[in-house]
Amino acid sequence: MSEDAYGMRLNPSLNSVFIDGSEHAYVSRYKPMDFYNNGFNTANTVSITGGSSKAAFRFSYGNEYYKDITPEFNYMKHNLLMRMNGELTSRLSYDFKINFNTTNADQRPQSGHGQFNPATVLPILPADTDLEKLKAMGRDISTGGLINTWDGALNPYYILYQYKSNDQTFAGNGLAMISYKILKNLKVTYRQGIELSDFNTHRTVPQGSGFRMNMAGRTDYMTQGGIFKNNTKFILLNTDVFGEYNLQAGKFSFDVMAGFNHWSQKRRDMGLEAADFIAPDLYVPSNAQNQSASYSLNNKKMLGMYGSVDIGYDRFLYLTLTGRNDWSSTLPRENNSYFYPSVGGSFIFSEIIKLPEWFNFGKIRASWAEVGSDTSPYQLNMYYGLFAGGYPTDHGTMVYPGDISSTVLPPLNLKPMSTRSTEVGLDVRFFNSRLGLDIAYYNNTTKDQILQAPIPPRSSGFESSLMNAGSVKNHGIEIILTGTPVQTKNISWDISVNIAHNRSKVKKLHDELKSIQMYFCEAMSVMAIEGEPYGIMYGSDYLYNADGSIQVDEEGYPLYDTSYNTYLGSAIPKVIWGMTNRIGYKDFYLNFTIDSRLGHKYYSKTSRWMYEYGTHINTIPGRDEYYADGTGLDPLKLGKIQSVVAAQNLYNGGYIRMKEIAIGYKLPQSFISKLMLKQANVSMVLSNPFFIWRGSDFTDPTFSLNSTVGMEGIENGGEPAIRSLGVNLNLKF
Amino acid sequence: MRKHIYSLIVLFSLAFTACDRDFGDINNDPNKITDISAESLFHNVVGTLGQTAPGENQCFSPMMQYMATTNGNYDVIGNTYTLDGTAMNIFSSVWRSYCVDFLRYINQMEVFLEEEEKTAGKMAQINILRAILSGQYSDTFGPAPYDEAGRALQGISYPVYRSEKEIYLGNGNFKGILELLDDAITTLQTSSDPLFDDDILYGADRDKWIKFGASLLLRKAMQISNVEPEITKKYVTKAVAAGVILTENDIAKVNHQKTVTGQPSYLDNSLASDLIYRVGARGYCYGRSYITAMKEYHPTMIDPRLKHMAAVYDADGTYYDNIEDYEGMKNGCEMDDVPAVLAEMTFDTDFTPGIGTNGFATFKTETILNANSYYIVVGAHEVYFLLTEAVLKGYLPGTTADADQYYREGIRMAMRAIQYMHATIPESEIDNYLATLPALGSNTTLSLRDALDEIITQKWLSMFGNGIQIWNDWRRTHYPSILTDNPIENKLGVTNGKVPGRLPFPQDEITMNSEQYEKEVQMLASRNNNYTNDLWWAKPYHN
Repeated sequence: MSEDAYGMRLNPSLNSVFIDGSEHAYVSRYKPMDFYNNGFNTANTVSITGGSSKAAFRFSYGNEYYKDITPEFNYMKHNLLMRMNGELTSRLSYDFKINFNTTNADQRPQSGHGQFNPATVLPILPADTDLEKLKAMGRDISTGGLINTWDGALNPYYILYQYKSNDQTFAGNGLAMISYKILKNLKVTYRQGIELSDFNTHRTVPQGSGFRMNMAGRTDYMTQGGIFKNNTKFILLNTDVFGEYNLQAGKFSFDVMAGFNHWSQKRRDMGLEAADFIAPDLYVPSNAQNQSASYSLNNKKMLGMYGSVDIGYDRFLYLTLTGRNDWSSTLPRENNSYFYPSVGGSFIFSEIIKLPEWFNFGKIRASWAEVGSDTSPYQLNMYYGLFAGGYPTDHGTMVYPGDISSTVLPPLNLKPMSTRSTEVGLDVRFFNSRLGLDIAYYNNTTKDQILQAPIPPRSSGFESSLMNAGSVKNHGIEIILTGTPVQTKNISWDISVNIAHNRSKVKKLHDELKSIQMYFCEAMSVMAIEGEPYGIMYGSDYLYNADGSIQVDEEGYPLYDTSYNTYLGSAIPKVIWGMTNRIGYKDFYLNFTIDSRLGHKYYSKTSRWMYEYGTHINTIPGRDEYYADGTGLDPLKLGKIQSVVAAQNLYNGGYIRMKEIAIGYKLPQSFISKLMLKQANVSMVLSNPFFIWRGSDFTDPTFSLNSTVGMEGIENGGEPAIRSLGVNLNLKF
Repeated sequence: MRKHIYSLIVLFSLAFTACDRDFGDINNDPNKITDISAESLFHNVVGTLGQTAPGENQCFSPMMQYMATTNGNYDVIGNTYTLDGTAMNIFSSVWRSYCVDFLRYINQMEVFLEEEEKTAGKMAQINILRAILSGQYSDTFGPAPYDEAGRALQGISYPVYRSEKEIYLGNGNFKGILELLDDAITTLQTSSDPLFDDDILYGADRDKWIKFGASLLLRKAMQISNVEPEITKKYVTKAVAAGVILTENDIAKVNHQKTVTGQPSYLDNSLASDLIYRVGARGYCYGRSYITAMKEYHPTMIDPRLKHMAAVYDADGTYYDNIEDYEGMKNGCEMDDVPAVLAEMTFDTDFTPGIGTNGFATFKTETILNANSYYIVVGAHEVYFLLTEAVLKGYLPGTTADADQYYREGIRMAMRAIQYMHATIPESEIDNYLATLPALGSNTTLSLRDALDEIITQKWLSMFGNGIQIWNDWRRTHYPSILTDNPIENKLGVTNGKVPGRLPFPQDEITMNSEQYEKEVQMLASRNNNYTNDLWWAKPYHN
């Protein structure tokens, strides 16, 4: 098996040698999708509710089992909920809620491009790869887990069968609320929330593994195995005390609320790595030659005071005013307090103005708000570390080196960030609300964003710095159109369409800074540039002649811009829209939902790897000629150029997708009452069935729905998208 | 109820009067320290000197044909001379090492020392470190940040680049590395301020630090001899007067051993561990030119070092000691051509049938791959070779006989240095070798051109693991001629078979420091950020 998929033409009369040493015909037999299974998911819930007019309760237990398309990966969840609320006396009421849940997942693959993600290697295996042989090798630890000698790339089956990974969560949250009516219209509430979680991960690299890894403070071959364990404990306490007062004075109504909040969060991470076990099959720290432990804390506290006033007039004119002041422990003491108000109003003009019959409801709303926020803990100081183990010198002494812990430049004078938003909206309904239109225009400006900006350049000694970096403006329109085209005794059809168009602009970053590289990978970067929209991509592109053709060197290979500064496009969609349809016929219903994002591009890392390793379909032209008699361009050299030109790996990210089709049926009373049921619904849901249109069918464009900030335009490899068919049954006794 | 509203409003506004909440220490990470001594940072920098230069095994060693590959080429830039995404990543990490791992520590130490008294001795030590690292930084990339590098904590985020000439010679505003070294030597000789209490190299021995600084001055001064012979002569004379590393006691070397938890990673012999990895992952072995030179430099004898540094092991680990049959792998081959190269070899008869690519001479486990071997930062052998060259060129007084004597001492010290890899060459074997070695300038093996070629070729043989210094020597002399005669011609390369004159600036630096980049790309000879640029001190070749 060669290092890449370039090379001689496939030929059934020739043999190639597979990594396990066996020979097989040099033909195409590899289908990447054969790696994946069908997945399965089941979720069940039982709940009991009851009570009287004085007190009510609810109890529910649910579980979920999920088996992924990646073989061996599955998880199980359990969920328990109890809630009680009611009135002890005419003045005293209460609401208690407890929720407890646990998850256990096995063989969850690492996400993103990495050694322990089986999806990393699948797109670049050559065509004569035999998955069955790889599977057999994966089950046999004596093969070491490697797949050829690519920089530690692992046999995906080794990851499934040998490398063990498990994570477990135990979490609970509770809410207790007690309200006391001091007067008929004055109420005081005490609310205490608590969230607890305990999260454990465990990973085992088995003895006999053939690759090198940095573990337990050493980098070496993993022939003697290693384990990694981590425990995170988290507790969040949230206390509110607030008073509410309402007053009706003529046509005016007043609702006033004021209160304060104490919020505290503590997190503790403990980790253990152990490597090189001595006794066989005993994966415990006491059996390890090398161990390292880690321990870190993360604590934060906030205090807040807030209040709001709601004024209503004659039930068609409303005005709301709010104000809040927060103090955060994560900001410098001089700047740790920030105040943010808001004002909003709405006017239901259809109550006052005489409108035609068919125009039955109209409301205008407008609001202006400011929201402030802080950052994460421990960002303000420069930290150092000491090597407690020391460095034994040649002349018999011990010296203790130390290092600078972080490559993030601590901030000089951090301020809270704030977002100011204005919104104006119109909500009108016609024909007895059978047609409705809601249009809103919004304008948000975030200033003093706290970013870990990947500046300054590394030649400054640091790789990034935390700073208030300027302001970003987002403005746009959101439209929701609802309609009920058909409404008869037996048939109804509701449509809802929502369209959103957003324009962003980076208004200013920093005096010294005109652009920030939000994300960088090899040949391209996602940038925030002053004066430009957020989320634009820059990278390398070919050099072009005046007539639009690509410039080539004297041998015919394309030339490209090595400064990587060509504008490639925007990673942010211009329009996001969706549509839901509900069609009901007697006791049946048919729903289908469409979602769509249009007007953006994405850079695919999978494509870049496929060009470099020769599995991309575009690397085919010219191969026959070159490997037959050496004429034309060398596909390997051309492929390497194509892999490093970002524009070659850029695809249209637009799509219109049928997101879900659901058919449901409400079983008739006559039938279910015999089973002592009050209500029974059954439905069938088809999820992600097909694309109505895709700008490019290279990869599934919906990966961007799960992207983190700054990585929106980057396709980072991963599992294929899933289409699923499910059945739901809902019974009420 | 109006009263209630009023009292609520009053309470409310009272609360809003900006009362600073003092959260105390809650935002200080209790697991880390916010203060450290300059000494700890000093040990960190000295420790990292004990590793190969950033980029060594991927760029410089293959480029100087110390090492070649039989099973994987994609990140071995020194073998392919490509400019692809993987190469870009390597340039980026080499660049990063200098500023993030070295120079910002040096700057931070200076800041700490400003708070203390009687620090001239320590500052001199720090300046020696700055000179060696900044010099290497500029030798790798050409124009580079120098006085403004790694100064983000002091407020400089977008460092200005300086040309190689400015870095070596300084300008009115800052001292060049030659002057820094000269001043450091003088300070150490004359000031009574203490040194750092201990250090990994010399344990605070002032004399040895002076010799270390002087040897570095000798090395860097000789490097610019093509363009500034007068300055070279001045500094060479000063260095020799101060005393350079001539004996084993004074060698600047760093010890290594396997690390345990809590110890810094540079305690590990990274040359050994990286080579072990690369032997497995890329099929690294010795380059053909290196093994050929080891066998054929001397007209009648094989170099005594060969049997200690190289070995042939078959797939089962059996060792073959017939060193006269050892061959290295040709540099610059595509992996698809490896079988053709193998077919030309006689490994099946020399060692054992079917040995395949294991027949190429590889690194000996007991020495080169020994976790406890030392790394030599500046050795006596290198100093002797520099002295030979200086005498030949007239920078130091002496006859050709004196030059020949330095040359032989250099070879002797190089052979003795094998002891730092846990092997020994008996003195009698060295005597034998030298007794029959032709006088300097008269060796006709390997198509050696002249005396200078002989000096640099022997230096090359002695400095395995320090390819960057040899790359410097090659760029200024085009010797060892065996490298010039066997160019690396890989079809993916972008240099037309020529040895790169520098490494290109990495892409992240270009985008993030674009204003300075525009200025300094003009400082490059070809005005283009690629391999084919001659640096200021190099012999004209690309441009």
